[in-house]
Parts: sequence; structure tokens; C-alpha cells
Amino acid sequence: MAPMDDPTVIATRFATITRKMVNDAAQVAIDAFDKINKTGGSTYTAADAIESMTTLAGIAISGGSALARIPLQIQPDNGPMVVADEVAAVITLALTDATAVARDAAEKINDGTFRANWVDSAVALTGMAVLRAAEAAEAIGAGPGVLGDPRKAFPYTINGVNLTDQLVLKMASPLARPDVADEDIARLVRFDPDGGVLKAGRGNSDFSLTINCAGIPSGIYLGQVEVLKTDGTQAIPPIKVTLNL
Amino acid sequence: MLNLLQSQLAFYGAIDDAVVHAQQGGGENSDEVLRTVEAMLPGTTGFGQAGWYRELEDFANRPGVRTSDVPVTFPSLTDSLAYLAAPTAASREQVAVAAFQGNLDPEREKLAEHVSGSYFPDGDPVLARCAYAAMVLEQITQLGGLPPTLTTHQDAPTQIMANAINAWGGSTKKLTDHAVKSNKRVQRLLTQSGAVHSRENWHSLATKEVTKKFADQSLPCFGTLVDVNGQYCSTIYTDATDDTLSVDDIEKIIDPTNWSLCCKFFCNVAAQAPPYTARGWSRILETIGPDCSEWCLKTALVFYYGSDSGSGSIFINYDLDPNRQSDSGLVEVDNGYIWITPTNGTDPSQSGVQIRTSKQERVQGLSPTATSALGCLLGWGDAAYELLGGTAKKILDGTISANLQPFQETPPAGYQSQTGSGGAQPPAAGARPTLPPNFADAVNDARDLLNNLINRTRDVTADAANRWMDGMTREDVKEITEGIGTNLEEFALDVYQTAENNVKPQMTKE
Repeated sequence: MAPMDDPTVIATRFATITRKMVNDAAQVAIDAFDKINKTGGSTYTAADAIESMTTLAGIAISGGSALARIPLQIQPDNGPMVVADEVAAVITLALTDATAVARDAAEKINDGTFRANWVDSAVALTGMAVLRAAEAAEAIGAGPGVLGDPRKAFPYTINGVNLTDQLVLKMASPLARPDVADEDIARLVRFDPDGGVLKAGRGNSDFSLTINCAGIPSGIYLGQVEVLKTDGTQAIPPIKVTLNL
Repeated sequence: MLNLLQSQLAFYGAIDDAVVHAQQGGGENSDEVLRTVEAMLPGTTGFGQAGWYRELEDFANRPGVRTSDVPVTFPSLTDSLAYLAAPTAASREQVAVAAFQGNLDPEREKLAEHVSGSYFPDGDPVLARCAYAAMVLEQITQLGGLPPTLTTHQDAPTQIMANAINAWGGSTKKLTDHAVKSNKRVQRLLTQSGAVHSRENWHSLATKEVTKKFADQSLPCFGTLVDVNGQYCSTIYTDATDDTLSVDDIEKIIDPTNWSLCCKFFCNVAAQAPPYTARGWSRILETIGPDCSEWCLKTALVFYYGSDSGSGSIFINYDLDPNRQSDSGLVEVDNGYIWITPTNGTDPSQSGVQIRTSKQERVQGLSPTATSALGCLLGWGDAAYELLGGTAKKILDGTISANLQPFQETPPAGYQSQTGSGGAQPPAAGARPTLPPNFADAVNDARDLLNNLINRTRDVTADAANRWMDGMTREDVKEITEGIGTNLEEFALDVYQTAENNVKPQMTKE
């Protein structure tokens, strides 16, 4: 038997649980279809609908909890925890979708256009379960291994300054995509050398700014780097920066 | 109807089928097949990644995506090979109609590839990517990894490679069987494929045997996962150069409303009404798909057009329109940039241009691998490559007559009179079914309970795992796990009870 922390065993366990969620959810729809399309007329009732929904919820709960337990059974590291977090996010999204469907139904009831279209309901709900489960499976399969490095570095050279002067770099606000209201990611900028301090007597005036762009929209961001003397006055006019994040 | 994009996708689909076959232990060297494909097409062979081709086919048939009356079926490898070998617009249409096996609507709008004088294959990146697929398929074939459904296509790599290179060079002459099999360059590319162990290896080989531009374009991009607002998105970066075009040339055609003229995946890109946001970004509805009369995605986007006179560059930023007017409602994240800079100094009129792009995308219910296929194989994410292709050049030099929308910096003059407060709210995804009365309350409660449950489970799990690292025994872990299980069961019962309490067991009837 493979050791408990064998990644293949872990991945297989994730996949098995997720597959069971998908199959179980599909069976709910199949049962509903059978009742709805029964020869002689539908026998699908409101009670059946409740059962379908609670069964789907049960699938999400049991599957989600089983997935969440797995990190406990293995050597913990960041990888599985990131995956568990993503699975939790995916299940949350699925529930949000289900809520949207229900809210829409409630609106239709209120305006008198409600119809007992159980086929559509079953298909939509099962579709959500299956699709979101597929996303969960993808997250599990992909894991953190293919996560892109969100850090991007941009090198610059300052011209027209004296190497014997100490300089301090400061990212001016805003650093943003042009004409985007209230956007400013200047606080995410980190300088190299540390703190943006170019010490007196250095060999050159090179620096780079680094941004961890996780969680921000991709785009061309425009801004300015201020080059200050130790007394806070500007050594040279600000350097314009164009960052493709 | 069959077209070049779908044919190319079928070649990559054959690779995916071989991967699925290998995952199931099929073939003679399944592990080696998986290693080879992962090296050539990263992120396509793992759990939840393999099988993306059939996933995409299912996606094409989803409500809100499929536009035809009949189910969408992706083309067979046989039909796709025949299409690639067809050298003229008339012969391509003939193959497409034969593959369709039905009566086509005479009013149906023809694809540019099926209209003489509207499509020029020279420099088409889709053809270069076909060649790359041929190389990977050749490696799979040599490893004995073709699945049973494809074993009759042992010569597919030769056919694909020969016809793709022939057309990429601009030829509209059909290759004979003899010419396909005896082409020395094709033979060299395929016989050396066994020694290609990385994308870099292939790039060197393709540069030597064809051209650097061909090699650049042949490498399909691949997505990496990035966390955007708590959701993992597929992110694609591309970087292309051209020595013959200038920034000024690209500026003439870069407006997205021109893309449908030369980028095959863009069926229609049109201004919305009102055309501008309150800050002057252009509101545009993008309709994409390999053949939008079969399936497509409609996404409402906003575009910003900017320039930097100091560097001679121009750029476009885009993002989802907060007002998702006329939108399919399936795209959850779609943002990025196109950045065009001169490669020789800062004069935008001088030849030599670099186009860098980035695209973050997430489509509801579609895995990042399949989403990346939309971006990297069909051209959603790298439209810039096609702006450097033969068809775009024919538009720029006037051979193909087109009324190009000029690049107009944001905000355009007088835009304030053409903005609006918005129209419809974003549509919900897919169909809008109905549920019993008051079920919304039940589901709302269930959602809140379950969100709480999931968060609690995650937190408890993390805490327990941390304690384990500090020296807990496996017995301790077992006890904690059982405790969590009991907790979960109690929560689940609460969910059921809450749902039942909220639902009135009567149906409203007409």
C-alpha cells in the first residue's frame, strides 16, 4: 500500500469523492425525470422536489466534508490546504447559484408567471451540481503546482543623479489603470533595494519594483516613482512607469 | 460547420483522447505518453485536466451557448484532415458541407475561409499550431499511444504537418499524396520529433526548418491559475513580434470592432448602446466561437484605448462591463491588456513591432484547462497573433476592402452625450427555471448554514493540521476527524430541518 502522504493516493481520494458527488447528483435528476415523464402523467410532487433539493444539499455536505477531511489524513503542507480552500469556494459558489434560481422562481410566483416546470428545475440544479463539481475536480487535479507566480518585477535605471547622494524611492499614488475610478495599487509596490533606499556610494542607480498582482485585474497600469533626497525634496522629476500586470 | 479552427481543435482533441487513454493505462507506454504530452502541452494531463476536449464539446451544447437547433458535434479527425488539405475557398466549403451531412441554410452567413478573396493562409497562426499538434501526435504514435479509435490514423501527423506548412507558406495548391509523403522538410521535422523533449527543443527545430515566426506562432500558449477575488482564473500571456509591420500599422486595425475581419474566433465585436461608460471607456459586445451559428459566447466588455508618446506605444485595457447588457452571463472574469510597442527605438512609424497580451478569464462551469483551450487554441486570448497574419496584412494593404474602425484614445471627444445609466441587470447563467413557492427562503437559509459549515470545517481542519505538525499522533487526528464528522452531521440535519420549515408543500398552478 502506498504511504498516506503519497500525492497520487491523495489525488485519487479527492477524485473518488468528487466523482461520487457528481454521480449522486445526476441520480437525483434521473429519478426526477422518471417521475416527471411517467406514462400517464407526472407523479412528481412538491414533496419530491423538496426531497430532490435536500438530497442535493446532502450530497454537497457529505462530499464537501469528506474532501475537507483529507488534509487531516496526510502530511499537511500548503498544497492540500490551498486545494481544500478552493473546493470550499467552489461549493459556496454552487450554493449561490442555487439561491439565484430559487429567487428567480419566487419572483415568477409573485408576478403570476410561475409554471410547474420541474424538468427545467431538475436539469438546472443538477447541472449546477455537476458543473461545480467539475470545477472542484479541476482545482484538486491542478492543485497549487500550476499556480502562476503572481510576483512581477520591473527593472529601472535612474539617470542624472549623483552616486554619492543617498536617495529614497517612493511609489506615488495612484498607480492604476487609466480612468478607473478609485483604483490605486501603489501600496502593493515593493522596491529592490529594500525600502527603496539607494545608499550613497553605490555602484549604480539601478532599482526594480516588484508587485504581487494576485487578486488584481490584468491590465496596463500607469504611475510615477518619486526619487527623493534625504530631506524629502525631489532629486529629479518623477519617473513614469508603465506596468503590464 | 467545419472550419480551420475546429479542425485544429480536433487535432489537439486527438492528443487529449490519447492522454485519457493513457491515464486509463491504455497503450504500450502510457506513462511516457503522459510525460511527453505534459512537457509539450503543460497542464493538460493531470486529474481534472485530461478530457478537456469532450468537456468543451459538452460546454458547446449548454443552454445559452448552443445557437443551432441540432446538437453540436465536434468534427472527426478524418473530416478535419480533409479540411486542412483543401487548398481553396471552394474546396474547403465542399469538405465542410460534406462533413455536415445535411442541408445548409442558403441564407447562412459564410465563414471568411469559404469566400474567395476573404482569407489568406500565409502566416496564419492556426496553421502553425496545427504543425505543433502534428509533432505531438507523431510522438504519441511512436510510443504506441494512439487510442483504438485513432489507430487507423497512423499517417495523420504527416498529413497535418505537410498541409499546415504548405498553407502557412501561402500556397493554395493542393498537395498530392506523393508530395505529402516525400516532403523532406516534413520528414525531418517528424523524424526528429522523438528527440524533442521540450517546447524549446521544438522551437529550435521549427526555426531551423521553417522560420522563427513560424516557430513562435506554433507554440500554443497555456494558462496558469491565478487567484482573482477568491476565484481561480486561467491567465494567458502572449508575446509576439513582427519585423515588417509598425505600431502605426497595428493601430489601424487594433480596435476590437475590427477583429472579426481577421481573427476567426471573433464572430462579431460591436459597440453597445449607449457606446460609452461614464468615464469614457467603450462599451462593446463580443461574440466569440469557431462558428457562431453553432455555438458562441456573448460577453459585454469595456475597453480603454491609450498611448504613450514617449515610448511610441499604444495599449488597450479591457474588463467586464458592469452593465452586462445582451450578455450570455457565463463569463465570470475577463480582463487584460494588449500592449503594442516599437522594437526599433520609439518611432511608431518604423517597421518592427512587439505585441504583448495578458488575459484573465473564468467561464462558469468550465475548467481552467478547457478555458485555456478557448484562449490558446481557438484564439480568444491571442487575437494579436492573427493581427500579424496574412489576412490582416491584406486588409492593411487594401487587398481586402474593409471599413476599419480607427484607434481613438479614451475618452473620445464629446463622449459625455453618449453615456447612459445602464439598462438591464446582468442575466443569470443559463436557463431560468422555476421552483416551488417560498423555496428561495429555504435555500437562502441552507446556503447560510452550509457556508458557515464549510468555513468552520476548513478552519477546524487547518487548526488540527497545524497541531498535528506540532507533534500530535495519528490517533489524535482520528479523534479530531470523528469529532468534525459528528459536527457536520448535526449541521446537515439543521440544514434539512430549516429547508423543510421554510417550504410550503403546495404548488402554484396556472
